[in-house]
Amino acid sequence: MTGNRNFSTENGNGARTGTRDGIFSTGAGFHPLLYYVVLPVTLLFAAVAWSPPFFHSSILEWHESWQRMLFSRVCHQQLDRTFAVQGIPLAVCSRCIGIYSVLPVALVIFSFFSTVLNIAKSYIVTLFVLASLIVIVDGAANLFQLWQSSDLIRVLTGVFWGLATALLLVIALTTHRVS
Amino acid sequence: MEPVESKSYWNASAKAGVVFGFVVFLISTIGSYITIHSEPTGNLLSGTILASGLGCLVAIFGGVLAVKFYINEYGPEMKIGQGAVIGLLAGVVMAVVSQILGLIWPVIDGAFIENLQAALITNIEISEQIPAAQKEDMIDAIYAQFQNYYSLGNILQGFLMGVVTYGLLNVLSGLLAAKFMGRNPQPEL
Repeated sequence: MTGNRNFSTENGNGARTGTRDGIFSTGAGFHPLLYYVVLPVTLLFAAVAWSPPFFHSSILEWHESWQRMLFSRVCHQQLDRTFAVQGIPLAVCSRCIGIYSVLPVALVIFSFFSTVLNIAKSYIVTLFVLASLIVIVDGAANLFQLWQSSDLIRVLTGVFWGLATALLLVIALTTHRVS
Repeated sequence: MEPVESKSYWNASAKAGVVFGFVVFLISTIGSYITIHSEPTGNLLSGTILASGLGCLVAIFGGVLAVKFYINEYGPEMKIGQGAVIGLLAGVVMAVVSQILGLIWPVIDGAFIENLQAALITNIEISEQIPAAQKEDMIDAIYAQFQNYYSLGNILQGFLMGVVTYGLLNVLSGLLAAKFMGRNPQPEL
């Protein structure tokens, strides 16, 4: 954890400024959106994505479940590309489960390093673009049958994109500036 | 100087929501027609499934476009919280527009639902990716889904799901857009 105390109190986002870093510290240094919107939303998505096997006992129930329907607009949910627990698929495909699983965890962890991350801002934007390209290229190649990635590769590309997104969100929601 | 809070988000959100609601509907409908007009192969990666994946990629840009519209209208000074709200509203409009268009289209093409249902069921019947024991369940589920297409419960459920997914995803894209495209408001002296 970066216990930084050497930043100015410039606050351009209308939120409180403070003297410490880290999501579980004083709450200072981050926009309230992080605690009240972004983290709860990402936790909700992760929990819902993992939940079908705990609530349903057949494919029929899964197909009619609100968890599947919630993600049906944003994930293909193809059965042979979706992890299953005791025969019941998760609510999203293997790539998306990587994204949704890693996002809340990464947000918490990266928030402790926000000062360092803000210094490396330009690299992180590049990293995000790179991660997005990897996901798009791998997804398109799978789609057009140029190659077939294993579920492990799909999860890893999803995790990479989730990590890059979390980095971007932490930068966006940091309200102080390093002096 | 006009206080930032008095500026309306609705114009930008509504415009972006309508544009992306239409785009998402278009992708979904094209995907459905690809499924209908393809030879059934048993491959589960049908047009409708493809549309869901592509829809996600496209839908998250609704918040970005809404913030862009807001900046064009009021200038780049904005808080990231405003970006989040603009994104949320754009997502809600997007859900409403895509839901309404999705209800209207089967009226224009009367055979749309029947053809799509038949194509999906045929694909499942000859699929080697689904265990035989689960095929009947899947077919029953798809049949039930299309039978209830115009029920109030189904419409409300679709709308609610759309608001949650599009709304929340665009909160994230809206706040990121505000951060990277906008400029922090200068404190008044």
